[in-house]
This record gives sequence, structure tokens and C-alpha cells, in this order.
Amino acid sequence: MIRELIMPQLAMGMSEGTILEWIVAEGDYVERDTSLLSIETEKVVTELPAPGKGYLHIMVDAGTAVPVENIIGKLASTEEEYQQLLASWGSNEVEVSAKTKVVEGTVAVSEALPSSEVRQVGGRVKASGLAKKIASLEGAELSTIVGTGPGGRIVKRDVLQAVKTQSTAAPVVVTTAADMVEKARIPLTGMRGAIAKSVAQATTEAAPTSAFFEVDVTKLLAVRKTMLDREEQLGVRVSMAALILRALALACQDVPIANATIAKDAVTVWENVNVAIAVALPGKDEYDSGIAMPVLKNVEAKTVLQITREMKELTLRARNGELAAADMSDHTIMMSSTAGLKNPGAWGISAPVLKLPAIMAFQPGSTLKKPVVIDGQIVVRDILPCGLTFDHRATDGVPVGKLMAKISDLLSNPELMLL
Amino acid sequence: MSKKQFDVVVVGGGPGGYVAAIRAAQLGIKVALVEREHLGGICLNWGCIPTKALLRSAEIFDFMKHADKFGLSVKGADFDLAKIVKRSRGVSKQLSGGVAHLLKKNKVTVFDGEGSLKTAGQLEVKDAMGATEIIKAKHIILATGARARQLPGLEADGKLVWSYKEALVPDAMPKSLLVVGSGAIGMEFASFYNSLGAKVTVVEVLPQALPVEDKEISNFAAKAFVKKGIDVLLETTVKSLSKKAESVVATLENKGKTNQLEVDRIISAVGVVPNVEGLGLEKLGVALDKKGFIQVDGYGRTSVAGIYAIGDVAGAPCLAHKASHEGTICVENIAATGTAHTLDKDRIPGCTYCTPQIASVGLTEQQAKDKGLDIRIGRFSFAGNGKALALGEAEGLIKVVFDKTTGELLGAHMVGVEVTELIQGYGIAQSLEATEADLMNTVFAHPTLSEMLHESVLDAYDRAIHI
Repeated sequence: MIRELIMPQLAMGMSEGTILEWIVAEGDYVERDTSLLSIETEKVVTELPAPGKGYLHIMVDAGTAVPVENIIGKLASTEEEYQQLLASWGSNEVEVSAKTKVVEGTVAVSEALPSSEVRQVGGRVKASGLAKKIASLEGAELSTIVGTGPGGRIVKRDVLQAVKTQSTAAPVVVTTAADMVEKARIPLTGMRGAIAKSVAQATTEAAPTSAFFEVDVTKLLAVRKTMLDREEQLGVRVSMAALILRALALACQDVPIANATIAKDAVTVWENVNVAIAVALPGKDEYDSGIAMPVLKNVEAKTVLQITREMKELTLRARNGELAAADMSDHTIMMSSTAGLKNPGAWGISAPVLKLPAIMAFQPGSTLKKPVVIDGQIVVRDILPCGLTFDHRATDGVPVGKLMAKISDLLSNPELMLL
Repeated sequence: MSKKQFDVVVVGGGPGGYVAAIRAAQLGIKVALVEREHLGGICLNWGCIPTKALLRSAEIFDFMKHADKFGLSVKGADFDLAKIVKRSRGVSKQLSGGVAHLLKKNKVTVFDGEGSLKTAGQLEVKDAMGATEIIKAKHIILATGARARQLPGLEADGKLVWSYKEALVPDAMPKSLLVVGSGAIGMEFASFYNSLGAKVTVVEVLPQALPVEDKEISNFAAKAFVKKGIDVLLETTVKSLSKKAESVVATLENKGKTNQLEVDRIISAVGVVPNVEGLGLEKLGVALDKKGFIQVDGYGRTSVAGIYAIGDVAGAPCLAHKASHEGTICVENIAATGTAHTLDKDRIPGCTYCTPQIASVGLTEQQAKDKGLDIRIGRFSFAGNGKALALGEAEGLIKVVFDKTTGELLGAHMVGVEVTELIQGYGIAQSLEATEADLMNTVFAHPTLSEMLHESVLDAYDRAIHI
């Protein structure tokens, strides 16, 4: 038998406890009632006894504050079960989200992303089936909603309340002058409401800081042409966005802080590069427009072909309104390309808006032929303008500078992506 | 005059009051309970429980009458009304004693007497001898319940015109009976007296029997009542009564036409009114709503700080289980345990124990439509269920109402054998906010009546197997 050890509610009103120390080491055998760990709450320090005998598996390290009722470890009755626990660790367990190791102050490094639909650094989000369904229909982010159901569970009324608040909190300008004729009114609900809330949050809550740079992609276009020539053979038309995504994922390996999320008390750097990709959608009516943000998972481990295929599929699902909550969760970085916006160069370049909790948003623009100076000569080259926004709360100029240099280098010398 | 000090005092020992008191005691609160008559209240002494005992006798008698259907023979099947009533009273007495024991076990101080508010924080209790004492408590919870509504001209006289109290303890079997009101109380008595041989007529002022139920379910049930020999007259009112020595001639009016019906007895079951008199509410300024119930918020707080109300006295639906839940919520809120969640009145099940039984929770099809919701309906007939056929109970229907967009189970409505036990399945689903997918993915044991809960959900999504 494998028992779950949870952070107990030791007193009325206790919402979380901090693990001071694991008295028993990982994998050690304990008898029932042996003190396993000490916990500090606002009021007391107390030791928790083992609920039975077995082998201890620690899931949340000392020094971490854990909300009550969240899993902090497991107790396996037999050695086989303990081995099983280790084997399954990090593969498909929902509770993995609690495993964030605190290193160097507040920056946390996690070993794996949870596979659950919803995630909250330091604990999983509890929500009813109906609440999850409504949240996904309304585009509400469960991790930002406070649950009022039993044990803090998010229930229908919480999601409805959150949707209502976000739609009423957005500014609505109503002009009442007699000669003003209203053409249309777009309620800030549903997708429009979710976008309004998300972009407002990204500018009010975060400290967005932007930078712009240009990349010579002449060689990359030649490489892509080779791929396009083999479209029939490859079975797919390799997209520019896929090549850029590959470069972005590789750049994140060199500058890990670029691929991170921020929460109230920590920045978490992720191994998985899960890119939220902005997909333009039609809005409620002819006056409205929309965006979906499907997440392409584990881009760091995928080939350009795989990325192209999966992007196509996600984009199609987004346009057909078939995205599930899981398709839109767990992003670690964001990319919003403006290449599709009509004539190349028409948009120029802008500072992308962050998609919290990710701390980095990257915006490749449309490739444009430009005169540039190479070896003292003016030559015509294909230039890709790029914009980038980072959350200055989480990181600073030097790493971001390194990231831009790395992206530039990979995109202008695509052979480096073979390495 | 002695003065006693408590944290919480509960006035009324029914299913709202005694549950509130016990929950308070569990939370370590010093609590007292004031009851003027019977612990357990109407529910246990003159309502839910004794009627179920009577109906059980009627049900077994029905089995005996139809024994040959099961290949059995019962000769000379008969009943002894006095013994049926005695058994019913015995069950009530046993349970009332049980409540006294529970209160004692939880160290709740019980005062026998009638409570009346002096000021916020002070309650005067007058015992049967007229002696008074003052109990002090920071929080006073009123759980005084409700009583039968008396229509002018149709007042219960205890002899020819009965309220539920007289109907529970008949000394002789009336040959004919007029039941006024086709709500839960009316239909249960109609079933009981019909099974034991009385010619029963039910009049209902509204165009639907069991007016709070889903129309489709009500119509199904009404047909079953008629088949059993109960006359159900809809859109009909009692204009006047002319009492004789051992019978009453009632003048009934339907759409302007009147006719007369002579019956041995009449049962008035036209709803309940709250017990708000003599509590000192006006003096303290405790606000009542339009219907005369005490106005409360989701935690039972009245307009006066420190005064709370739960159960029937605090408004419809007047159901024991609603009262108990409100009691718990009220006390947990007072104790600030952080676990009190206001009651969602759309998720309170209602059960009627007539034959066939009726049970429902949530919105009817019409209510959902009136709210402008886009819905999906699923149905399953008892005739398609193996267990129902084996029981010889093929008459029944389960109906579910889903929100088409979210998959929320908005309501469930049932008629048929044992549906009052089945409804809990949907109650749990609603409480946990399960969606249609969760219900479809749940494994229901075979062969059970509960399988119909699954099939009707499947039917709502065009996936029913046994239709």
C-alpha cells in the first residue's frame, strides 16, 4: 500500500505550513508514529508522525511552504512499492507540481512539468469537473481563481464570479452625446473578456520591458527553399515559424532563464520548452476579433518537421474551436508572429505582450529585403525584424541580451541548428 | 429567576434545531436547546417518519392483494387500523427518544418550554407550568418550524376535517375521503387511504398534480393514481362545506362549474405557515418576508445581529433535510470554521412517498427553459430495466436535464418504485459538480434500478444502450 502524506490543517484558519525539516531521509524505513518531519505554521512548530510503517518518499523539500491538503510525500509499505514510486516519479503524476526545489534564494528549478490540466506552482489547483469545463469555455484561468468550495475547491460559482468580475472590471466607455450613434457593442465576456484580462494583467502585474533587433535570414530562407523543394517528399510545407521555434527552443538551452514562469513567491525555470503560440481567430461578430493560445509542448525535443506538423494541427483545432484545456495549459514562453499580417513590412515590429505566468514573449515579424553593409559593401539581404518583451521582475538585461544574440546567431547561421 | 449563560441557544428541537445544536456541541460550543413539545419536531413526530410507517403497512397490504402476480397466494388479507397506527406511533417514539439520547451524549442542555426573545442575547423560556427563566446567549437560532395552513372554511375541526395530525391517527377507516391539495403531504395520505380501501378524491387548484414537480413526471404519476382508483380533479377548488354528523358535502368548483361530493372525511393539505408568533420578533425588529417567513441570508442571519433562523421558519422549501443543512451552515458560520458554504437551493432533493414514488432535484425542464438555458433531455423508462421487471415494477420514468453547453446536470426527475432512494446518486453528482462525462464514466452495478440513472444520462447524449 502507498499512503499519501498531506499537509494537515492543524488549526482553524491555517491555510499553509512550511516544511522546516525532514527528520527521516528519502527512502528510509520508518515504524508507525516515528516523527517524519517538522512543520511550521503561523502559530506553532510541530512534528508529524508516520501514519504507518514503510519507506518514505519525499515530494516537497524542506523550506517550502505548502497549502493544506496538498501532498508532501508518500509512504510505501514495501520496498517494491517504493521502487515503483521512484520509477513513476515525474512521468505522469499530477502531484509532481509540488516538487519544486528551492535553490539560490527564490529561483526554483523543477525537474518535470505536471501533466495535469491545471497547474499552480507549489500545489495543484482543485476544481470541479463543471468548473473546469466552464473555465475552458469562458477562457478563464483556473490558477488565478480562488475556490470557495469544500477544501478550497474551485466550483461553478467561483468561475462565474471570476468571469463576471473580469468583464465588469474592464473599462467601458459609454458616450452619451446626442449625436453619437453606436455601431456595435462588444461585451467583454468570453474570449474578448479573457484577452482583455490577460493583456491587462500582463501590463499591470508584470514589469514588461521590451527590446528590438534585426536578424539576417538570407541563409535561412535558402535552407527553407531546399525544404520547400522537397515538400512532396516530406509531406508537409515547412513553415518559417517552425524554423524560428526551433531556434527559440535551442536558444533557451543556452539561456535557461528565458524559459521560465513567475508566481507570487518564486520564478520557476523549466526544462520543457512549451511555447504558447498566438493564433488569430474571428471574433463574436464582424467588429470583433480573437486570439487563441495553443501550447506546443516540448519544442526542445522536436524536429522542424514535427514542429511544423503539430503547429498546423494546433492552429487548425484552434480555428475550429476544438482546443481542450490541456492544449492551452503549461506554457513556459510565448511566441506571437506578425508574419501573417498581410504585406511584409506592413506591420513593422512591435513589443509583444507577455502571456503570464511566462516571463518571455518573442515576436518575429515579416521578412523584408533591406540594404545592409557587409565588408564595407552595401548588399541586399533578407532581414527579419524581431521584438521581445520580458518580465523585469524575473530577469535582467544581460541574460536577455544573451538570448537575443543566440537567436540571431541561430537564425542567421541555420547550420548551427544541426549541432 | 435563574440566569443561565450559553454561547448558542437553539429554539426548536426539529431536524433543523437538534442538528444545529449537535453540530455546535461538536465544535466545542456551549449550547442549549429549547423545545416546547417533542424532540425531533414535526418531521419525526407528526410528519416524515410516521407517514412512512403508515405507507409501509399500505405497501405490504398492496403486495398481499397482488400476491398472485408473483405466484403466491394470500387468503383473507386484511388489516387492523389500530395496530397500523400503533406501529407508526411506536416508530416516532423510538426516534424521538433517540434524539434525546444524541443531545445528551453531545452535552447539549435541553430546556422544556416555549422560547421568546427578550432582547438580542436573551431568551425567556416558559415551561408547561408557566414558570419562566432567562437564558443568555450571544447567538440565538430560531428553528421553530411551520404548521399546517388553514384555509378559511376548510379549517381542521379534528373530526370531519383533518389536518395531517388527525390523518396520522385515524380511529376508523373512512369509506370515502377528499384530499385538498396534491402536494407531497396530500398525495401521501391519498395513497395510504386508497390502498386501505377508501374511495379517495384529490382536488388541486393548479392545472398540475404535484405542482412543484416536472410536468412530464406529474402527468405520469397522475395517470398512475387514476389507474389505482384515485380521482384527481385539477383546477378545482372547494367552495364550501356542509357538515353532517358523520360526513361532509363539499361543493367543488371547476372552471365556473360546481358540483357536490359527499365524503366521510376531508384532509386539508394546502401547505404550511411559519411559526413566528410569540417569539418576540416584532419587538426586536426581526424582518419577515412577504410570505411571513423570517428573512435570512445564506448563513441564516436575520436582520438583527445575534438572531438567526433556519428551516421552515426561514422559508421554503419546507423540508427536513434543508433545515438540517441550514442548521449546520448557520453554526459553522458562527464558529467561523471556514467550512460553511451557503446552500444552493437548486440542489435540494424533494421526495414524495406516494405510490408510485416521486423524487426530484434541481430544475425542471420548464424552469431550465424559463431561465433561457440551452438544454438536453434524457429519459429512461422502468420498462427497459431488468431489475424493475424482476421486481414487478415496470411503471416508472427517470428524466434528466442537462445544460447543453457546459454538461451541467441541471435537474433530475423520477417517478417509480424506490426513486426516493435513487435520487441521491444525482444529488451527489450535482454537489460535486460532475458533468455528463463523469456520470457516463461511472460504473453502475448490474442488475440495479440505479442503472437507469446511467441510461438516462446516456440517452440525453443519444447514447442509451437499452432503448
